[in-house]
Amino acid sequence: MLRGAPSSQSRTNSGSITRMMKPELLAPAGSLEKLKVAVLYGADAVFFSGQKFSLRARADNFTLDEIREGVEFANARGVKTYITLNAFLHDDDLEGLGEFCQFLDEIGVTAVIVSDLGVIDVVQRHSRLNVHLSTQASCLNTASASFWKRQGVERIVLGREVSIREAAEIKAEAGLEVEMFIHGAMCMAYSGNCVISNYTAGRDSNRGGCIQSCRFQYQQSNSTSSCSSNSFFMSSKDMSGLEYVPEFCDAGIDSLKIEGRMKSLFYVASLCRAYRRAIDLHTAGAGFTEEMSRLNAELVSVPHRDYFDASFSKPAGMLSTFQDRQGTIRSGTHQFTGIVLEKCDRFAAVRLYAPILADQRVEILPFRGDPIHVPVTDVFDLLGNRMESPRQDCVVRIPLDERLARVEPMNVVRAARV
Amino acid sequence: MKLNTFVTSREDIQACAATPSLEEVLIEPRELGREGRISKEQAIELAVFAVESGLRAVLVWDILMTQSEFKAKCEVVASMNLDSFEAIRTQDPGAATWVKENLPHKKLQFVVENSNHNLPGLKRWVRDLAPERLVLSTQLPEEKLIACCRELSTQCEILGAGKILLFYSKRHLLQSNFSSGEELADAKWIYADSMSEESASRPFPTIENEHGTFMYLNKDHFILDKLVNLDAAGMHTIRIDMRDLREEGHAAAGIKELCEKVLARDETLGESWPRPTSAPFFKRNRTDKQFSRMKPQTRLLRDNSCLAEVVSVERGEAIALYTLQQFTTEVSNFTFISHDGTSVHAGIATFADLSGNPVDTCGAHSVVVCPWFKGVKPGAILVRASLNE
Repeated sequence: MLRGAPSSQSRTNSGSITRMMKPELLAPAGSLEKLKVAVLYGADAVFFSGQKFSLRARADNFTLDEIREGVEFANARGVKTYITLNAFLHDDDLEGLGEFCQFLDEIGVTAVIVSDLGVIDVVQRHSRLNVHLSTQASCLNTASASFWKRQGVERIVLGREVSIREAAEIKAEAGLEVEMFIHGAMCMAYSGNCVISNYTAGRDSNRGGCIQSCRFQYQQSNSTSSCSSNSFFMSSKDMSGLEYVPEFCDAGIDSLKIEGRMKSLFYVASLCRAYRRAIDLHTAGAGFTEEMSRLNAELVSVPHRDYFDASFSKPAGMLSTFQDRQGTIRSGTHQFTGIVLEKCDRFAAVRLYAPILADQRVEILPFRGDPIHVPVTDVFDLLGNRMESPRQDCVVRIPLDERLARVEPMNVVRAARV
Repeated sequence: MKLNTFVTSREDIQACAATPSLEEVLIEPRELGREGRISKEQAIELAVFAVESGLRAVLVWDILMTQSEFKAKCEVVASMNLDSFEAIRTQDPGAATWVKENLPHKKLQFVVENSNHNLPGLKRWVRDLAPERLVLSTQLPEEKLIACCRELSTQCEILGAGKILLFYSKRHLLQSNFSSGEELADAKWIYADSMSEESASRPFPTIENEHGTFMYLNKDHFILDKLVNLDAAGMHTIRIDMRDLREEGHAAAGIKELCEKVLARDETLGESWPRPTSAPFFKRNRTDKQFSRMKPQTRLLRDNSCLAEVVSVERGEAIALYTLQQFTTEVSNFTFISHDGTSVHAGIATFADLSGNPVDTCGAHSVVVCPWFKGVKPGAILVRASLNE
């Protein structure tokens, strides 16, 4: 069967379409703005973190007020909220965790994502929050999942070494929800099993200080064979599971997760659009083979390393390393240009994060449907003056006409790279 | 305090049996142990010989396993005659669970070396797996190791000397760069020294075998000369890992002489270990100290006192702000705070919407415009002056 084709399981013998299980689309939210973008572009759930207890020390992350606002925003739209508490903590780090969990419980957070049994202990003693086991715990098999289930875990975010078929088996045998990463950067090591940063940079990789040693170039020598090599042998390609959406759905995987709390608003918007569409089409029995190239175009529009299909169907092999520098990842076919802040009667106000060049093709990404082309000649500054080449870090006005009727606040603006 | 070590030969066991305070040997078959080199049949034979020599034998099953691999390995363990093994050592909670359920008469030694660094968590592993022993992390400082010994109701073990595992991947990462020139001598094993551009003077020993790829620190962990306090606190076992110092085929060559020096607290003990050594976290672990410097300075200002963010500056003419909450403009004293921490005090008499209409109340999540103030940059935060002065 062609990938993305309608699933035979979605039709009965009489030919009528049955509703198959629709997996949750779970998106990263590195900031409040990204959370709103993820929700509006179709995520069913978002994951984000406060200032402590998580693995992204360098991300903006959320203050308590921002968490409250983010949860209210998501809850109002029926979107679930998961807070990451996935660092492996030392005793001193546990200070304040109980109070933080009480706060999360009070404001209606759906669940917390945890790696550390000690953290689970604190969560359960101080709140009634649902607990999801982070991929950092490298849960890889049914017996392990059963252990975590006995610890009160309701969902397992499986290790990225697990195949879709294995995940379905674990779900069936262990009797709990399973979540799998479907897209994004990935550790080369079993998650949680790399401490290079701890020893080489004095930064705990499992408390948010990872220096991404796996992305460095390594000179290697082998004394026995007198071989030597310069390579990025520990750097993994990025996973992309668009073509496997039917398999994920048919296997009953509960949640499909997009990695990338450090990534841009553009990344969040583009990936939510693509995967939302693929999931909706497949679970409606329509298939998305015809749209595959268009959806793939969304995935390559954002910066990325070369994509591969991880261990979705078979263990990642020798071709899964990305033999290039961190700084030379594929820039993507499009550039993140800005975001619509406000829509008035006559124009939209767009915050520009990058300059617009005169010969660039600028597009607004609506929450649903095809991108909307914006002529660069139709860009004005705040005071109404036409701008020849709008600079970054400013707000511009784009006049609205019929073509732009679908534009809404929080739409992301992109420009094709020249 | 007792000692243990890995063995791969009868000679190793004979040496261990002659070593005071060494009552236990670790036996890792190729199919189950990360660095196992012997067949399961050889492992059983060694276990039998260890028992005959007055030693406890522990089966090492410390690989991580995906579902299909796990099932296959369970069959391997189930097929083994385990009579001579007194305990089984696992890291994967699945393997531990399987041992508890299927081999209830076998004791469990559970490896929590990897990022289990707090007592509530360690106590819970003890409560729910009831292991005979926890194998603790080398990242725990001495003070915490002592606390573990005193507060955990099970035996504790720590690495006394041996290599430090930095990285464990399921993927086979060396074979694409290195031909299999050593296949004849050592099937399926590839060795390399890996030096990153960030640590060019530090060649990290790297191994690939059937279980994946393992990278180790260039210096070995070594605390054999610092055991007094741990001994007093009740540390049950000190592990000495001599596998990489081996003579061909022997994992414990020289164990007797080394252990005698450990027990005698010989002052030349440090010189007895043939590789460079280190114990970077034994005194203290400060691997979280840099985190506070990694965050943008203005992020913590994003609380209820923040009214708006500057999104555009038209020099000499206007500033556009994106409101983060609703606020009234009756009181005109405001402050702009920039990323670098500098502040600009501003008396703003009027805000206007994008159409130029004055507004008394700025609604949340909209763009408003105010007069230009020198020194204000995009990204700055607007707060009420009174809250910041």
